[in-house]
Amino acid sequence: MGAFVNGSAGLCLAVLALACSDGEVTQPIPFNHNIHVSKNGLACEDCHEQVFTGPSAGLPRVSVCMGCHDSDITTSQAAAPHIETIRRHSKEGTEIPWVNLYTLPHHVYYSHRRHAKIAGIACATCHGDIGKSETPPRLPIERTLDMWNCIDCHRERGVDNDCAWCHR
Amino acid sequence: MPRWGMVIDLDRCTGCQACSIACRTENNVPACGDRNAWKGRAIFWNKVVAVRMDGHGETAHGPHGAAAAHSRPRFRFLPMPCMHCERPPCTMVCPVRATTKNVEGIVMQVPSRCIGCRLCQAACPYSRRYFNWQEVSFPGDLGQALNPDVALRTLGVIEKCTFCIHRFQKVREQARAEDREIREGEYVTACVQACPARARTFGDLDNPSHAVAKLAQSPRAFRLLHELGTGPQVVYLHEGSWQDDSGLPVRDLLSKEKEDHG
Amino acid sequence: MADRDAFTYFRPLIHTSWGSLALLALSAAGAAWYFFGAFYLQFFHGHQLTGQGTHGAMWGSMVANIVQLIGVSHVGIAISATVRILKLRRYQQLARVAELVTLVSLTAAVCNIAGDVGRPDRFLTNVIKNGNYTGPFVWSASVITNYLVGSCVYLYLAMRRDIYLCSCVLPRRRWLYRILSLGYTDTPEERENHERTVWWCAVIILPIMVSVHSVYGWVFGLNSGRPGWFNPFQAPYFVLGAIVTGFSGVIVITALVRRVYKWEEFFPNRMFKGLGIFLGFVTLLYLYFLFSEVLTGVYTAPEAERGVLHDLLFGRFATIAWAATVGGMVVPFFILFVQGANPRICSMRVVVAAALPIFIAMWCWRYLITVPSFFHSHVPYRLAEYAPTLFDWSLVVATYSFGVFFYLSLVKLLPVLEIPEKFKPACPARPPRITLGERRRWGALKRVSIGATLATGAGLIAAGIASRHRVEIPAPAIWISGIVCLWTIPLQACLLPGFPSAGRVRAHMARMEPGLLRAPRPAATAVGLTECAASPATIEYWIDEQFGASRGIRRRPEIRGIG
Repeated sequence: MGAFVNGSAGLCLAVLALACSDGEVTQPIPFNHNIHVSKNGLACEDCHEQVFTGPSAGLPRVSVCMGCHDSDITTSQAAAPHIETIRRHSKEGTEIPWVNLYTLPHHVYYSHRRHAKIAGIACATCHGDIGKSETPPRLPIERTLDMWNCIDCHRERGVDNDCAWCHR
Repeated sequence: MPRWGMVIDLDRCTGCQACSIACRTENNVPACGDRNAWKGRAIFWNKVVAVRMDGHGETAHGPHGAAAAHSRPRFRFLPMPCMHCERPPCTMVCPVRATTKNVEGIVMQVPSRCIGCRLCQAACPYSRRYFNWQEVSFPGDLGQALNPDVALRTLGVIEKCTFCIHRFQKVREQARAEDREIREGEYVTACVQACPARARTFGDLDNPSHAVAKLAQSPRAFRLLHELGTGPQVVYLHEGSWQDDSGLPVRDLLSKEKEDHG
Repeated sequence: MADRDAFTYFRPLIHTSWGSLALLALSAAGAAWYFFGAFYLQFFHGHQLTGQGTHGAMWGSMVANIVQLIGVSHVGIAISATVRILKLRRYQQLARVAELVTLVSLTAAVCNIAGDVGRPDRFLTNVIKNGNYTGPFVWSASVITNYLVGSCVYLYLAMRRDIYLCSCVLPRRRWLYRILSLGYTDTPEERENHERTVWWCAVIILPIMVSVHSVYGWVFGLNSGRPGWFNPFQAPYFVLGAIVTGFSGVIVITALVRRVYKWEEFFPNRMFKGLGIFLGFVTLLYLYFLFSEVLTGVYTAPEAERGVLHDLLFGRFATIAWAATVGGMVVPFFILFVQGANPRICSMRVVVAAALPIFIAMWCWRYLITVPSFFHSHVPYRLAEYAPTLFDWSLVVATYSFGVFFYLSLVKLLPVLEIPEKFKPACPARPPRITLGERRRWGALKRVSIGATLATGAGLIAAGIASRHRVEIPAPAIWISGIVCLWTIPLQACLLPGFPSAGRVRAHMARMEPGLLRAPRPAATAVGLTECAASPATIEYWIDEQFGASRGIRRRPEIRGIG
């Protein structure tokens, strides 16, 4: 009941947020998850290196990209300018300026390590088929990021819902 | 299940207030300005209260005797964090469950839900809860030194000592990742860490190996306002009676009423 | 209805003087300042605009004002309900004046509560979504909603006939009163129905009234850590204070209303004399409670309690306390006693002269209950002195300004006086033409509807209470919606067309024509009459009068004896 009330409120907010947003977020490189994950068999943690060790999963460092793209691993003409961008950043010693899709509110503590490593929840459980997307995703997860979604999932798995575990 | 508590040795406390400053820095406590401080709106999650020990107490038997008692006022310092009571009056009265008692003994405060009715502030017998009467401000360079692990509060909500819950969350996660219990000394609050006189100890009151548990059993131990039945988890150590010989509770500092009554 | 009578009863609705308009404008400006100050200035700049502080007084003049207004709201409905239940005909006209006072002061109190909390934007939503059943604030939300909705229903049903009469008498605003009266037709059945329903509402509302101010007593009385507050006495003490405040407030407002609209015949001096006697009695009772509190505090009380009482009697609050008690309560009590005991004194002005200081003194005592305890904390803090700032006072005054604006608007819109039954409009509204058969069906539907509402409401309340521990379920919202659901029952009872039961028909017929039922008769409904000793003409006339113009009735062939 609470989830319904809060979920619907959250949904309205999410819809509003989407409606008010500019639409597509433009990433510096139109990253194609599908090629990397499905075709080349990369796991999430191969690029999002901190998912098992820290609160935030992290965005790939340019050295991670260069690990493969240093050599001519891809022959795609469409990808060529983007590979150039990666190599340029690497040479200049700067990171690729990925645009963060979502920042958790300040009063919430969410840890990827806690959920992905300690609880052993698969990435796809929350992030869905993001590995199959061919353009950069617009949303980090396909559900509303609402406290009650977290609470419901906790309740399903029999995890304590104390305020102190997530709020600070 | 650990039960987090603190022991404060009043015989060691020098009144330096390092604990108050450490707490404010650690928890992004805002400044309130001159005028608001004058109105009693300064926020000190951990507050060191200076208490004048009247002549009938320990000073009467000291080296200078009763005659000098009034001419040389003696002070004791009473550092007061939130007591994290076992039966907190504040959690009972909160209309929106913005403050709740955690299973491990911490009384949590969630300012993002608080509506600012101040019932909890009125209910707390120790007055350890602070309302943001003014806009949140960090004058000068204080804004550069904010702790990213602690959320900023807005005006109009209540905040209070949380036993540095953000530190607890990280330590707990690390312990879970390594599949072990939290070790003594791993999780300490900022005030305990900062005390130069080592007057403060923090740990699991239910774990006999923790120093806190041993100190809480000391014959010098007492709890503030014990008779109210709140069951505070902050234990004070003090040689001799906390009350003076007349049996009355500690007197107000420079209280006019007490001067009238002698 | 004679024109002169109409004018008297409807005077505020017909004629608005320039003075009224000026007062309306001025009070609207004051109300606007309240909303601006409380919900804009305080919201963006914080409560630092007031004089309160954490190590000082956490609650101040605004909380005192809230308690005062909640107290005033009580007595409106209490007077109205008591007058109805005890059939005090002499005070009947006081009823609606008082009911409007309830509505206005309760609204003002809720606005004050919203203005006193730090985050009024989260105030209602968080209490509804995440309400904690142990919190006195949630109890307050529940009982205030109960009382407010109940008062509105009670007020509306009691006023419905008068609104209908307004629609007949006032051509320019006929459209408004037609909508408001919701199809009321002045048939004896409807009048009786309304009387009965309103009587039951009155009976139910009286205990609710007690609950509302008891909760405010408990807001203070359950705090063990505040000397001077922690006291089981607080609930009855606050209820008594509410009665004193309310009666004094209603006396003053009634006097004003009588004076402005020249309603001396409806509010005679004898009425004020009686009200004055009662006010004197409850003031004496309040002084007795006060004396008991003071005695307990100074006799052998613990240090902190003794400190609070000493502060009140001889310390920084002494001036207000003594002025309020002696000047504001003891002296007025004697005035009221003398005017009550002396048969030669029968004056409205004397009673008002006593009631106004009592009202102000009660505000002062609300303040004195709220503030002094903060200055006797168990822990030796250094505390800042508290004095309400200009902003604080402006908000208090602006709240009363809002009250004046709202009350004046209601007086200008709604009929304040109860128009006696003997007055009937020259062109009454025709009851709708529906057949007896349709009436029976509506009647059955009505019974089902009320039964279903009862079950739903009770079920919601039970569900809410049962789920109070579950944090994910908004239990207070559920039981409050159950309460609101139950309050639609009186509305359904009066608004939906019904069909009287056999027993009621017989009772009505016995009242109208006592001889009718002398002969033993078989059980009969109004339409299934088998054999009657009474004359057909009489029964026919009654049916017509009850169920509408005879033109619209399709006579059922089973009614024998009527041709």
